[in-house]
Amino acid sequence: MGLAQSKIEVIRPFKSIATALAFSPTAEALLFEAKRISERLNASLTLIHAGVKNSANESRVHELLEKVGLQKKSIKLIWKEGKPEKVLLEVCLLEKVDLLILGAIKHETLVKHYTGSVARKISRNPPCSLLLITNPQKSTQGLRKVVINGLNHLKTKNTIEKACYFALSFDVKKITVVEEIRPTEVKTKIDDNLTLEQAYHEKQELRRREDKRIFEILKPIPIPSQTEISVRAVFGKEGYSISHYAEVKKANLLVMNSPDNKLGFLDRLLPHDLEYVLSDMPCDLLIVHQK
Amino acid sequence: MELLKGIKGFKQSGFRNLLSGFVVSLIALPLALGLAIASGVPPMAGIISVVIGGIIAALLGGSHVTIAGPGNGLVVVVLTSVVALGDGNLLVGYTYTLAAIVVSGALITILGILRLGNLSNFFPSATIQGMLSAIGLIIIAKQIHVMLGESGVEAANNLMLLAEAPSSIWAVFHSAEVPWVAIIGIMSLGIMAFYSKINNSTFQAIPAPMWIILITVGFYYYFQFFSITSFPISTSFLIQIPENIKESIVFADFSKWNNYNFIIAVMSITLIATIESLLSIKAVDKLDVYRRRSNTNKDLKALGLATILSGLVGGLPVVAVIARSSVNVNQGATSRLSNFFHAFFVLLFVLLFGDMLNKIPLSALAGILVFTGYKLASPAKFKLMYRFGKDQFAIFFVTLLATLLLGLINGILIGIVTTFLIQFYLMEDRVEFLRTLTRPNTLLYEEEDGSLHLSVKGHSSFINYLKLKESLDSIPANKSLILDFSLTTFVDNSVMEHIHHYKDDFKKKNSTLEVIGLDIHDSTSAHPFAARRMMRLTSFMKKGGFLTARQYRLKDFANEIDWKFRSKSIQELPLLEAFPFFRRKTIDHAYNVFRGEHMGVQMKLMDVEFFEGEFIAKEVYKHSVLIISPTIEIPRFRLDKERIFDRIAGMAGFEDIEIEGHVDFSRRFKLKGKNVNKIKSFFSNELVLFFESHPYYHLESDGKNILILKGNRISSISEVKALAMYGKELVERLV
Repeated sequence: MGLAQSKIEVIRPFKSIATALAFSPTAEALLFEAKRISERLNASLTLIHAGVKNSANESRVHELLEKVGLQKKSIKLIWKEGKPEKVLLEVCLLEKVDLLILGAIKHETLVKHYTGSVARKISRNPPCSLLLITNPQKSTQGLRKVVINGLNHLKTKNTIEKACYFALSFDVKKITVVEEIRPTEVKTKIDDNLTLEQAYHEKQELRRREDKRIFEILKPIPIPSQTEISVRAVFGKEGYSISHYAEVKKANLLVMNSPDNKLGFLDRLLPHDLEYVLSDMPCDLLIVHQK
Repeated sequence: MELLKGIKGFKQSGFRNLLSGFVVSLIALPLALGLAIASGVPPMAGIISVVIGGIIAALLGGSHVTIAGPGNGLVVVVLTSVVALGDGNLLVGYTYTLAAIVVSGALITILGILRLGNLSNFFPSATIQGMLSAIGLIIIAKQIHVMLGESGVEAANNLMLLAEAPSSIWAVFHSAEVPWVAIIGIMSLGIMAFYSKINNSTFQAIPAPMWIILITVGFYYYFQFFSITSFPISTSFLIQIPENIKESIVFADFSKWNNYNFIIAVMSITLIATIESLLSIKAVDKLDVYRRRSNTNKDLKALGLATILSGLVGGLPVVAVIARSSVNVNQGATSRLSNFFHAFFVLLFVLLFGDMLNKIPLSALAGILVFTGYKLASPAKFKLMYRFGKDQFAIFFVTLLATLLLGLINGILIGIVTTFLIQFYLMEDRVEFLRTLTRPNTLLYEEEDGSLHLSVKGHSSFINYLKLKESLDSIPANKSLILDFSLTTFVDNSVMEHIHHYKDDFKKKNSTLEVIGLDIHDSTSAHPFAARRMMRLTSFMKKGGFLTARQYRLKDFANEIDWKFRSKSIQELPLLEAFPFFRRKTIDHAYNVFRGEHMGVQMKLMDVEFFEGEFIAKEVYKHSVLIISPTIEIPRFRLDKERIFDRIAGMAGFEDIEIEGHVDFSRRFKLKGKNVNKIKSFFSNELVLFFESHPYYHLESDGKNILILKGNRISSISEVKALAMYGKELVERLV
């Protein structure tokens, strides 16, 4: 950790972390996760509770903080009434939060999927970087495999840098950058053995091109020798393919660019890009915001 | 280009193709006449289709050894259209139908240009089979009466017409005169049926349909020259070919273009012609000795153009046909030249022997057609469909009945809807199925070792098969593929069948397609093509399920190396639980267990399913592992490829142990354990050299046994074999 942090200390993209404080069964575990992450990233921690501030609630919050071992002085506790997603959005902007941590269910029910849960609603229009934890744990599980999107997009460079910073802070074992290439980029249409061969070579050429682009981004990032890094190109729909890849490879964390514009109901009906990941999350998800 | 090359290299391949073209023409001639008559059009319509089809497909086609001409499947469509458009007047209906043929030819060409030939793969295989069997039954229903010489038998629908067959047979036995027409018809059917059974090379030199023509024409000349009585069959029961070939050219009449029946005819012809052609091309590609892959879209364009031209001058639609193509391949055809020659010889026969052809009784041709109908709807086919599973049989039967009663288009639509409903019923996660219906579900990627891996997720059925096919078709010829269904919950019969054919294709290209991840799926029948759905563990334990192809091959392998194999799942696994690897994991069950012995050391190989985390966080893993239990004392250790294997948390904190004098080993492997001295003495020179010279595996010992595994998925057969052999060699070093 020390090595990774000292070298890219200058960037330090996540200075201020926030999480939602709710009285759900996973709240305690989520707090543990948030605490751990803030410690690792050496960042301040803000807890946001969307609800009434009364003595009953306050004592519950205290109880929770105690269980997790959080000092009241070391954190910032914000009470605000209103719709949870709205409160979270406002506070994140107000407090200049860099990373918001929320609990999320991997696979939501049909009705929930289309109406949208708090976590999903925020991820469709995130105010800052967002970490969705599907399975918060009290004790650390460590971060083993991280899959990062390597889409040919302006945001990607920033995403990879921040994702590497995040992953290396947790002594990740393996980072895979996955470039999704649209099948339509392959111009040769496969008709017979000859065109099949041509299409394959064209694909290899595209692969090399994409790999080169990613290596350019990775070059300045100091990656310690105990971390394995690889670059993989897959042909398929953006968002879907990387999600499937993360699932097959049993990744622990998937890192995606934030959506280009606010995703609405229509995007859920006809999913694309991030919406594929959200409808069926393969693992924890980090959506990197550009700011 | 191929054709030109053929002419240049005529000495090499030209003669062979000429010969095979000649043999094919012997079949094509009687079939063309018969198919045309059965379609309710003049016999020359079939000949026109052969001649134009053969020439155009040879010049412009994208396949190599397929034969083009009039097809069996289209008989029913064309006949229906002729009757419907002509309001009972066959000759008028014929000219209107020609227009429908021209339009559908144009549609087929467009399908080819748009590269939509693959669309025909969408149809679930049971519906295609149901439709083909229905066509077979309709051909029998119509032709059996002609074969028996009972003209003019009519009924409300095809089923009733078929039910009339006994009365026609009855009439034959009770006719006052000698029923020559029926005798010739039955003889013709007999020759077709028993031809393959007769093992005489002289007899086999001439194809069965040509024998029928030779015998019946000979029969005519016998009466003409040797018998005192005159020929006993009246001309109304004989083929009528106009003396002047020009007279057989009829032009299409487009005036009914906006008629409902016309549109139905166009759709039916397009659908059936495309399906029949593509099924044939696919089947013939399997026969091609040069393992060439046909350019199906190019072929469709050629067949479409040929159909347009054929329809314009009075011919039947042109399709690629399987039976004639198989003969073509068997006769040693190597290029499209043989297709050209077959057309050429058919034309030559008609020009030279047109008069003799007029002596062929219709019942003889009907006999040939009844046999083709039987081939399409034989009891063996019904049996096979039943073996596929009750679900498949239900789809097959519904499609068959619907086609018989409501026509082809309705039949196949009803078949598709039935398939969908039955699959929906069989599924367990219906909501999820509907939600992901139109989404992608495949991922093709290259593993770090360069092998290709295609993972399929969710449900895999005829609905999203075309996407899967696209991935399968993009695999270069020399590459092997591992097809992983472990993330699927449902795989239907059509997909299983297609995959089976792909396995053959891969084998032909000297590579392999291996299917993994289906062992814990339940199947609807014991047949390898049966649909599969993810089993709940309880039912898996109870029934054990039917073995998958992978399990059969595992079993074979177990026999080969003289190990015992059991596919049944085991839940009590104290042996596994002792290893640090499984310390933080919960073992669900193990299955496909091999047990064996090598040099007195017990060895076990199995697929293990285990998970980490609980409830919603549960991550399920499936690995293939090998455990060897040498009787000697082994220190506790863990051996990994440097940096790669990161799933073990149990023994963290120990430093990498260096083995003196083996820099390479220390650099490439991470060796950990508590008792450094014991480990150092355990890793003898021989053992270190063994590890250095073999592929990486993860090894660990619990003090008594050694666990060996690799990767994080179920191993393919070759990987299982490699694992077992690795274990055996390791045992040899240890003992």
